[in-house]
Formats: sequence, C-alpha cells, structure tokens
Amino acid sequence: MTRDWELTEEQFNLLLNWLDPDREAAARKYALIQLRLVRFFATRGYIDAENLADRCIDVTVRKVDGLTDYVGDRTLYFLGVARYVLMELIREKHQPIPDPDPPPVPDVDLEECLERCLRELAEDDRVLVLDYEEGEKGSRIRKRRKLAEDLNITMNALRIKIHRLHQELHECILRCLNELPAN
Amino acid sequence: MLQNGNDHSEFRQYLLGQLSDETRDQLEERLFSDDEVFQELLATEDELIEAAIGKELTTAEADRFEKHFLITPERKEKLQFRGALQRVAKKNQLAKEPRPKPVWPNWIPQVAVSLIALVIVGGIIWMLLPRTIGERTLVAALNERGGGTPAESLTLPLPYDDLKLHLRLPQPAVPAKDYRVEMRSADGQTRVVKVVGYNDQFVDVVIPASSLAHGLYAFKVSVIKPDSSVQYIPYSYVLSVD
Repeated sequence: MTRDWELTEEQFNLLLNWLDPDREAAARKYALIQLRLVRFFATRGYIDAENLADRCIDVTVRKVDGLTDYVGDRTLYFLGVARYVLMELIREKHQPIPDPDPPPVPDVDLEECLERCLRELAEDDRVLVLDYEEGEKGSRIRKRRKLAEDLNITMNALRIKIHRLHQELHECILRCLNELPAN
Repeated sequence: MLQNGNDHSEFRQYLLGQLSDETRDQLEERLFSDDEVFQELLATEDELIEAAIGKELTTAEADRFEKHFLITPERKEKLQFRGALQRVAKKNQLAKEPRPKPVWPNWIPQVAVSLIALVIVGGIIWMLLPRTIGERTLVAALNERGGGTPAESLTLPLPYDDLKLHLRLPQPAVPAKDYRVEMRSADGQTRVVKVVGYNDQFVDVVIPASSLAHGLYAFKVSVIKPDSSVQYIPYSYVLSVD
C-alpha cells in the first residue's frame, strides 16, 4: 500500500469510534467499508483500487474530528468521499502505479492451510462448504437446491452463508500461511 | 436484499464493469447503505470466480473477467483460494464415494466359497472313507433265465455300498488276459460293469448297490484271450433283486 502519510493509532481509533462505539462492531464496519471502496474503484478499472480505498479512509480520518455531529448513514458517507476522490483522480489525470503482485502462494502450502482451517470449522459448516463444491454445472445447481432445502433456507441465504464461510476460511488461511515455516 | 435474477445479473455486470454510469451509481447507493446487498454482491463475486475456474463464462465475460475484474490482489488471492478449495473438495468427495455395490450382498460370495470348499472336502473325505462291500457268488446258468439253476437273490435295501459278485467260470477255463462283463436288466438295458479281479475259477465284478433296482439281472462274460481276441462265454449269471 502506498500512503503519503501515516495513519496513527489514535486517528484510527477515532475513526472506529465514529463508526460505532462498540469496538468489534466498528471493526466489522470498517472492514466492509474498505471492501466497498475497493470495488468502487475496481469497477471503474483502477488497478490500484486498494490504494485508492485507503486514500478515501485517509480523507475521512482527517475530517473525523469535525464529523461528530454527522447524523446520516456513516457507511454511506464513504460513498460521498469515494466520489470526491474519483473527481480528484479525473482532474489530476491519475496514472495508477500498481503495487507489484505478491509472489503466488505455493499450492501445497495453500492446501495444507486450507485443510487445517477446514478442520477448525464446525462440523456442519465444514461439510456444507465441501458439499457446496461438489458436482459439475447442472448437478451442482440441483445439489445446492437440496442443501438449501435441507437447511430450510433459500438459495440466496445459502449463497450468503457460503460466502461468509469462505471469508472465514480465507482469513484463517492468511493467518496460517504466515505461521508456516519459510521454505 | 436480492429479490430476483435481475439484481443478480446487475451485480455481475457491475463486477465486470458493464453497467451504465447511472445504473452503477444507483446500485452503489444500495451497496453502501445495505450490508445485505453488499454481501450478495460479494457472493456474486464468489460465483463469478467459480464460473471462471469452471470455464463457464462467455468469451466476452472471460475477457472482462481477466482484464477488468481480476485487477486487485485480493481477487487474485480469492481465485487461488477457490481453486484450492475445489481441489480439496474433490479429494474429499473421492474419499467418501462408496465403492461400486456388488450385485450380491457381501456375504453371499463368502458363503458360496465356504460351501464349495465344504463340498470338496466332504467329497474327498467320502472318497477316502472305506466303502462297505457285500459279496455273492453266482454260478453260471445255461441261459438268461437261469436254466435250472436258482438265481442268487438279494433284498433291497442292501446294507452295504457295493456288491461284489464272484462269477464262477465254467471249467475248464479258457486262457485269458482279461474279462469283460455286461449286466443286462429286465427292461433290456445293458451296461458294462467293473472287473476287479479274476483267476481260473472266478471273475470278480463290483456293482454300486445304489444302481440296483427290483428285478432280474443277467451277466454276460467275455474272455479277452492273450492274443486279444474275444470269446463270448455262452452262459448267463442271474441275480434276482427283490
């Protein structure tokens, strides 16, 4: 990530507090806001979308002291910031300099971590995640309908549930990869 | 909240950068104000990655996926993660797939083999067991009806496995290197019986007791001479089975 200034812990805490007085809820909101901002810029073809998302956060942090009386949706506030940053990018004829891609993780390490993280899931969730991947295109859809029926939820709810489990696994894998001994 | 396939299609177009500016701006209002809508977008993102791995995208979609969607490190990571998940799931599926079910229940071949082995062993034991033998001596009569000589008589069931008949030869005996004996039953059927020994006085044959039914049996003896010529002995031996 490229930042032209460093976000201090104090500033970060101020931002979290502004998002939600509950620290955990604020952290969840912050993470989702960052993902939204990345998609905002990515869909416009900015290959440095992650850096631009950070720029939006930085803009907000600089103003957070003056936002204590803000009454609107605080997540939606960031959409306004993103549009403002976008105008700046257009005005400055922004030429993105992407961060180099990190070296790809060896498949063997990834699978080792994935299997480890799958074991950390609750039994039902692990079975669900693996069953969800089963089958080819046609049979896969039928299989998923059956999974949703068995869980007594809609297909859409199943998609969301699976996505959340994927997120959980993904975070676990990132932690696990950091713990693996370097080759 | 996602209500219909139009939303799903719109999310997909958003991710591939195919929406008009106006539609995109409207969708972003929803994405930033509703966590559920945003979660659905992320779920659609997962499905797009899944479709790309499964080569289920159209050529145009695949091109946009490569050039427009797969531009952030986070999405590249997700692509690699999903590929690994599919491989692990496949391995898991193969491991839990039941082996093809046999047509017969598992225990049937085992029982069949056991039975066959039992029959073979039983047969061998039966063959090795000494068979009980009853003996009778028959004297040659002048003709098949026994002439004036009373027929040797037996009563069924016989209390032994085999019947050994000593057929007394007419004297003087013709020099022989072997004998052939036929047994004819009252219904006209003829069969060769087993010669188990002979000397100048007798030819011995053995007949399984189980092969005898009620009725008269006549035995015809032929001499196989040393020069291999065969000489028929013009007498009959008669056995009556009651």
